[in-house]
Amino acid sequence: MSAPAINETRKTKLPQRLPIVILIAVLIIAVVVICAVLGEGIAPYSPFLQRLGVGDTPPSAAHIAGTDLLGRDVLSRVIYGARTALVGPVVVASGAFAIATLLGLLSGYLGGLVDSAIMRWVDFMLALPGPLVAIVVVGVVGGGYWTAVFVLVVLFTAPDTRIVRSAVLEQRPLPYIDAARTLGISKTRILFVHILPNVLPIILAYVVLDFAFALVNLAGLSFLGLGVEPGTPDWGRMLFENRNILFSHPVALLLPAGMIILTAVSMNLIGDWLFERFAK
Amino acid sequence: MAKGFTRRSAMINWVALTAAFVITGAFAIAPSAKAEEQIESITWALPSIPDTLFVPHAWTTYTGAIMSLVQEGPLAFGDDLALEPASADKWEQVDPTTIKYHLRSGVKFGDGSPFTADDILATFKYHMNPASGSQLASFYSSVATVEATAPDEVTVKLKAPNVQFAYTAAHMAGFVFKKEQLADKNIGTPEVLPLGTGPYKLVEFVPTDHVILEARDDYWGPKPVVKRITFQAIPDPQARLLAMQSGDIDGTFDLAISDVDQWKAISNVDIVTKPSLGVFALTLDHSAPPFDDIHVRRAVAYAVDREGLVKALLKGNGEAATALNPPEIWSGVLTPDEVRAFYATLPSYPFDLTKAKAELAQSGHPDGFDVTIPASTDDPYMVNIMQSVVENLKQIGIRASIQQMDNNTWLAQYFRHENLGMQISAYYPDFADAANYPYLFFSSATAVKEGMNASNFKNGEVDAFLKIANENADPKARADALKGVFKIANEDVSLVPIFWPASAMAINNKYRLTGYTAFWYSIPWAIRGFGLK
Repeated sequence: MSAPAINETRKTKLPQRLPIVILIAVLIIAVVVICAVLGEGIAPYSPFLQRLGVGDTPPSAAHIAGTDLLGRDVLSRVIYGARTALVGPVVVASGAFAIATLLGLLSGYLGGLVDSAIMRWVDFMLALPGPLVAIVVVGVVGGGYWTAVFVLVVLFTAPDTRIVRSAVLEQRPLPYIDAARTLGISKTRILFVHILPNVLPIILAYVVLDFAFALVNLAGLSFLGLGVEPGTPDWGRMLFENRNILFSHPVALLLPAGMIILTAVSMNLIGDWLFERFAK
Repeated sequence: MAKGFTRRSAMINWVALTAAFVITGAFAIAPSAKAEEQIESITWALPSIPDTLFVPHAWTTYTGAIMSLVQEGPLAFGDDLALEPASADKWEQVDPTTIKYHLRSGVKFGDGSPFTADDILATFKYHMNPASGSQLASFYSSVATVEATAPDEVTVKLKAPNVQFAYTAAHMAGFVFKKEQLADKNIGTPEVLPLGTGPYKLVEFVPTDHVILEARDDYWGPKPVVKRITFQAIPDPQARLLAMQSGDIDGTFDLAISDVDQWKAISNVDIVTKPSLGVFALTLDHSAPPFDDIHVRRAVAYAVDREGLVKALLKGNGEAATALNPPEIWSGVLTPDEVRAFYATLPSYPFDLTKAKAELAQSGHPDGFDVTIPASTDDPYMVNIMQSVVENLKQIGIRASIQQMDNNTWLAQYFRHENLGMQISAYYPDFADAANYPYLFFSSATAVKEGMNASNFKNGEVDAFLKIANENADPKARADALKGVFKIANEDVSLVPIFWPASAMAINNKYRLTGYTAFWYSIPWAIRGFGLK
């Protein structure tokens, strides 16, 4: 009867190997990060360089992924476009994470009127059709990419707040919180020093998922002409600009589309893996 | 003994030759006989079908594509875009303010009722009556009176000389309605289908979905080759392309030039292109810095790669613009070749970033400036043009950016006529008159709110030339006056013309349509050289 217990102990002590799928996902994200950081340094051409006389051309030795309508190198624009593909989603995920953590901690721990007020706001936000709200606000207010990022931060905060609150509610009745209260530790310290570290893994898993959703949303807004300024190398914008050459030069459209899918799926896989590993 | 040349042998030779001619001739005319074969039916796709077929309340090119086969005006646009007789067999400019239309005899409406002067009167007066709410009322703003001066004659008196009014009689604005129908408030609905004197009559209309026309046997003009035409709404361009590929439709109008290569790749389709008479141009506000500086305007003009944009965006289906007017719009005043020869004498600003930099250095803004250019996302070219221009301007030190917006917002800000700076403008005319564009873009009278002159270009000499061109029907006097306008306009960089795009349509390659023009929505296109190949 003791053997299984020994095995269980050994199992937990063994270092867990990174699943191959997650390893590939991490590699893809690493490549995207390198592209975003080095950008023009590793792109074969300037992503802004136009050759109107050349126009859109299929893949060739000189232009591995061909050129777009204005004769710009598609591969260079995809490499440079990693920047907007990372920066916006990182800001959305981290912004929503910061606000949702604060609201979730307060709501879950304090309860009462504070909890009701925050949760009714969350209910209201969740009742809104997110993508539509983003399209309307960005379309009316204008301002492009950063307005879109701001709107997504607000929209993503609501569901994240509910998740953090749930995690806090699980922690609140536990003995270590009772002990802290008995010792007269301040609410602020209990929230940020005792509860926060215990709910952080769950939050981080969701932050990664937020990144993936933000990437797809921002690409969608750019495709609709509501994201980055025309001319900016951006994967979503490239889908819009190259849609007319889908049949003649599909690579110009499929490459940025593929990058959006690969990056979003990779982040989703990493997020799921983190959730499985830390949140359960 | 050599055979002599006798009357008998001559007769035999003559008979043989005649027989040979008859036989070979029969083969020779066989194709044309085939071309006149009746076609039972065709299906034509349009991006949309209107919810009413009453043109005064549905003034769109797609309504026009349908109703131009059902209705006609006293005059029509010919294949050369000039005016030609239609339901009026002749017209006369009696004096600078009087035009007389003589009605063609034997013309009937689709229900068999006779076409009369009263019908023209009722139609013109309908548009002129503010209570009618006609979207085409502006075409009649110069009319003082319209009356029947004989049973077969209508006389129009203008408030002041206006050469451009003549085109109204050939435009959708001139389509004549049956007087009794105009009194019916339901006209244009499936219950009250508009009658006309055109080659077809409406037989079925399902708003926003489809329209069916049938050829008339009693049409006064050429007999329609196609007996039945179905117009089907297919809003999505890719769906139209696939419908064409599968043979579900026989043709469609209004292809985006940027999509032409995709259409050309379809094996069963011919693409027909003609000059659209449209123009894309940058307007620069002459009334405020920085564009009040001629050197800045020249710098911008030199920074536009017109030839490159025609190659990249239009795939060669268009022409780099050296002036505002496309050559074909001078129809009736100068031939396109004469226009090109004249344009070659004008000051020009070919793409040259070195010259652009030099001009900016001479200006009051040698270190450049910031400028934001609004562009409509609904137009297939505007944003792409501006991407190219903005990159070039950045290279000479002008920090330009694009503010993209939907078409309504873009139009609203353009016509608000405030803080104009640099604007991109796209315009397609309603008729081919050489004074049309210059008046809209160069006249002091249009440098106001709701006006097209976003450059705020004001020049007394130009206004005087435009007055001559607008009021004088003599082609030479008009040509001389308009040449004067363009000389001043190009010297002063009143605006920066970019390109004149072509207009394209697709047709199943078993058919031909030789009469396709820029005004496909105002002409009875199905009787303008439509038939089997």
